[in-house]
Amino acid sequence: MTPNQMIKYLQSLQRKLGSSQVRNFFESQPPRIRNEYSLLRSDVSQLLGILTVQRLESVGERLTAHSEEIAERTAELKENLNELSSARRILTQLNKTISLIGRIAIYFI
Amino acid sequence: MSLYLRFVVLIFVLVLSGCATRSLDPYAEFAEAGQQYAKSLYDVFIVAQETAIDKNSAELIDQNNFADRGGSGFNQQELDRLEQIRKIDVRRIQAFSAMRQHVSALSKYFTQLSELVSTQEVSQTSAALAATAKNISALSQKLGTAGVFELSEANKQKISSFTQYAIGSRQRATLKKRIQRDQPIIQMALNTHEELLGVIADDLTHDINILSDRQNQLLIEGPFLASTPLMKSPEKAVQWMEDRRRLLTAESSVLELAHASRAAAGSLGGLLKDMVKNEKNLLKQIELFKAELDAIQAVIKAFK
Repeated sequence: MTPNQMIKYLQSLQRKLGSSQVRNFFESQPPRIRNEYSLLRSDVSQLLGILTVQRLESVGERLTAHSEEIAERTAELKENLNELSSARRILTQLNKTISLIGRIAIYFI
Repeated sequence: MSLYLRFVVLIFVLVLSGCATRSLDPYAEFAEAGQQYAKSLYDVFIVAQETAIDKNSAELIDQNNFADRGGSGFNQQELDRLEQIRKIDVRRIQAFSAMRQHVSALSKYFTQLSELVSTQEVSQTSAALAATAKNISALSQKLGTAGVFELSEANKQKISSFTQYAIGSRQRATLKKRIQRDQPIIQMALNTHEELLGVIADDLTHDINILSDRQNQLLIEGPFLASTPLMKSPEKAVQWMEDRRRLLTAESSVLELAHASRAAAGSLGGLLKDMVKNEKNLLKQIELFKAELDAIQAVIKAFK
């Protein structure tokens, strides 16, 4: 039985054990039997909880690996933005230089 | 420059500047859709986490109801039961927390992409170039070569538009190259999302079924089997009807959420491929994808 098959089986069992018919049956049983029923349901809940969390964690670990690569790509995007920004700074500087040349040229003319 | 040649250049610049205003639209829309997708994913994780905890709480209450309260080990038995389920819930919260960190990384990627698309650098660089052109013109006049570089206000505007297009093209090429480069990594993440959302859909469907069963027993069957018929107490009957409708609707909407969120991961993957290979009808496809995300958000709101 694979973990996924086990999860399916336990999900089905948990639902059946909590169904109204089964609950109604145990409602009329002596306290000791009622307690056994309660503990059985508890065991099923715990086992199912552990298996479903493990399944989530296993896929989640792969997501974490993707996150690192995505973060690297995000940093590169930021770099692209900075490149555009530095092109503007160069042009602004060029503009200032031309203005300065103009002023100096007027002085010499 | 002859009048005819000036006219041709002017038309060329105007056509190009017209294109420039639309050229980045698919990228802007794609980046926005990516951000919306990340938000939906985040919300689905929250719904799944809260539903799982609520389902465990409902089960604990019912199991506790059948425990032998007169037994000598009652307290210890019930405290152990609580502790075991608490540990599982804490582990689940941690798993979802790690997944939300991944969503946050994905969201940052699309936000950065969006910033690159909508950056003010294009217009600012264009303004810087126009100012430079103006200064060259002024300088040429002062140096006695007036007419060579002389620019009218209208022509300065054309230069600005043309520059905007030229930089816009460069920006567009950068974006396309970027998306082409990043596509395999984002696609791999989206494939994992599809798998994860399949797992979440399975858990969520079961959790909602159990929650619904417990609430059905408590709110529907209990009053229905009570010694006083619902017909004798109208207020309870109205509440009973509302509860019954809410429970039935919750079951169908969770299935919608599960299928829609999984489909959204597939759709974003498809969009990504189209961004790289074929841009035909891209805006229409992005609109359809956004409609899918809106549907997910509508179901999530119904949960809150």
